[in-house]
Amino acid sequence: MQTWDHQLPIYQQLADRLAARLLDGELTEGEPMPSVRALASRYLLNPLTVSRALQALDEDGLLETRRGLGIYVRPGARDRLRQAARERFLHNEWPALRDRLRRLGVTANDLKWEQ
Amino acid sequence: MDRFFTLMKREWMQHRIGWLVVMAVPTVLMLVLSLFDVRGLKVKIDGDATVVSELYQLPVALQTVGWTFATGLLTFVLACLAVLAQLPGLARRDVQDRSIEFWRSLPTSHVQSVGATVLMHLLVLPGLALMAGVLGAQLVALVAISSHLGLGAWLTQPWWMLLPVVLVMTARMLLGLLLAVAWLSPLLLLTMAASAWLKRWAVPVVVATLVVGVEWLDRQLPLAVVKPVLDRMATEALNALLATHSFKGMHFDSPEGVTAALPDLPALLLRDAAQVLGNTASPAFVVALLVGAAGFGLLVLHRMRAE
Amino acid sequence: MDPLIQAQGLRVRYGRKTALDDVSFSVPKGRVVGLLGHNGAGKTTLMKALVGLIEAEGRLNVLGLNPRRQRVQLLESLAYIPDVAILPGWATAAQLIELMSGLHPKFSAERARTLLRRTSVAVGDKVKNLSKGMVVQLHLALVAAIDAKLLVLDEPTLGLDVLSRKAFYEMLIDEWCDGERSVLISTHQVEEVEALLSDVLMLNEGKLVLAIPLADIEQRFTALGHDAAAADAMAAAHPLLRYRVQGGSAALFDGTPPPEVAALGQRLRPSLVDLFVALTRQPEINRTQGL
Repeated sequence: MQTWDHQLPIYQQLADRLAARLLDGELTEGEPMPSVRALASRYLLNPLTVSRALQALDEDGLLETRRGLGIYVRPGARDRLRQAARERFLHNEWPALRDRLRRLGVTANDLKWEQ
Repeated sequence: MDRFFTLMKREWMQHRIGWLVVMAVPTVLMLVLSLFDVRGLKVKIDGDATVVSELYQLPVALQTVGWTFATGLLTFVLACLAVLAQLPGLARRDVQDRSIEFWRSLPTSHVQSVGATVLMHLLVLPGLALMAGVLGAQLVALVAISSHLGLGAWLTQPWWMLLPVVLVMTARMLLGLLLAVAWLSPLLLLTMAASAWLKRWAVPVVVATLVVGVEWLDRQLPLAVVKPVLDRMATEALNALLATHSFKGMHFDSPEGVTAALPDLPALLLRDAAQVLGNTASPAFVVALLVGAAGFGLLVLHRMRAE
Repeated sequence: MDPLIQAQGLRVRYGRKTALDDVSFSVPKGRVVGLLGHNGAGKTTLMKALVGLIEAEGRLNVLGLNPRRQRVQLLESLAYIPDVAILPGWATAAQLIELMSGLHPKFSAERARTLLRRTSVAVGDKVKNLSKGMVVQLHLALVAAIDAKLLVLDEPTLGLDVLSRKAFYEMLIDEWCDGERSVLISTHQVEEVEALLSDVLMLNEGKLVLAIPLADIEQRFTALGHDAAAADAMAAAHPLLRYRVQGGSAALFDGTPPPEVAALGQRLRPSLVDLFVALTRQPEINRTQGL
């Protein structure tokens, strides 16, 4: 069974996993999202939690509700996600990593970026 | 009502194999018996044993009635023994296999549940067994008579006379079953209740209570109570079942005499039925029913108390 | 919308022992409520009171009915599995479907057969020949075929293997979570069931120590992950519980700790398991510590 870690609220963890699936291309833009019921059954979660996760994704601008049809993956969601992940990396993770590289004396050549 | 019938259906589903055996075995036994070379089988007619005859020389109609009576009675006795053997266990059946929790989770009242069990096992199933016995007896009679006297003998019986006799005999016995159960209900239902509450100690306790009642209590009281009550219940039950009133003092000269009296049997049995029914219009019967109801109430109470 | 269950001041006494002590809560529709507690905490007693099998002092209203006095009527709209090992052994699945059709006005034989097809139980199988997991699947299929508003399950996964438990939870979500019906499920396997719940009722020795929707837990409780250096400061702030997490220690508070303490740690998700350990006591621990 799925395990949920102790860091983030479960709905947030689900939202992150769904976002990852989106990024990987498993969930296609312009296609309907799996239903709340289907997601609840697959991840063994309470439907309320699933709804909350979808709401979080919606607030991040990744989903759109088409009246009478349901919840769909918003076109451009992948790019938005990638962009948001890029920003997070550049702002949060990169500075710390860059300092570490500097401390270790690793240069651009050592990184062999082109490969 | 639908639920009550389903509860009764459950009893059949759970116990049908045993009951089908009870219904079939006497017929099968009698069939086997009938196929034997029974040249030596003699039948006594009427209590004085003054008239003795070879079975297959009796008038055919009498043979049929005889097979009906014998097979029906055997089936009935077997059914009663089965009931008495099962009675203590019935009260504890669902608790022992823990299914009581399942049955109690369904929307049926305790009264309905206990009532269906009691009704099926004390009246309906023994009654069905009796009817099965009577039906099976006809098959036995057919085989017995045909194999010894030819099919024609069986076919040319006075059916217009036989059918009412067999039907009324069966009906009389069914009435007898109902009344016997009613008269014995205090004993039957209190034993069941004792079994529910006292488990394995129920039967010993009941027997001990009765013995103490008869041997000790009755001697302490100015007027004996326990033994007369037991006697009354037994007498009424036996009367109800065996129609002994009506057959006292009957005397026949020959098998033909008995056969000639057969057409009167239905009327005789009906009069007897009226008499035993009349016996129920007594305070004793009401008391018996009330005590029986108390036993039933104890069974319902036991089911209500969650474990 | 009226709540499906409303309990006020429930009290159940067995002789001198108080099995339930002043328990009050309400359950709206569309919820999956976990009734958590150690053995003997009162979970089964509470459930029996809810379905009218035992008498309870106080006010109790289930689906608008008095459970004790209107038991039969209540059971027409409430499905109850008191235990997993109680289906009659002599019966086949088909016979049970037939019987329930006649005994339960809201039971659908067709639905039961459809649900049964999704399990590994065949219609002609006898209960006594089934494994424990299959009996639970059968029982749940039968109960799911009842058009009930409330499902009350008493430790339904006891003794089941992982696969059976998973199948059980899947069926529960698929068949029961439609927003109109509610489920009350008692268990002491808190970790496994946490993600399925929408609300939790926690019993400790007959008393209700927590009654809260899961979504509100983070607002009320604070879990702070911290390193060894902050341990003393954490302890001084009187947490409910101190425990280990991956990569260090953590402290669980009811409410928000003072800001200087909060700054020392990193906010974690207060899990139901930790709350359970914090708020309830193992009966054996009581005895060995002479409490």
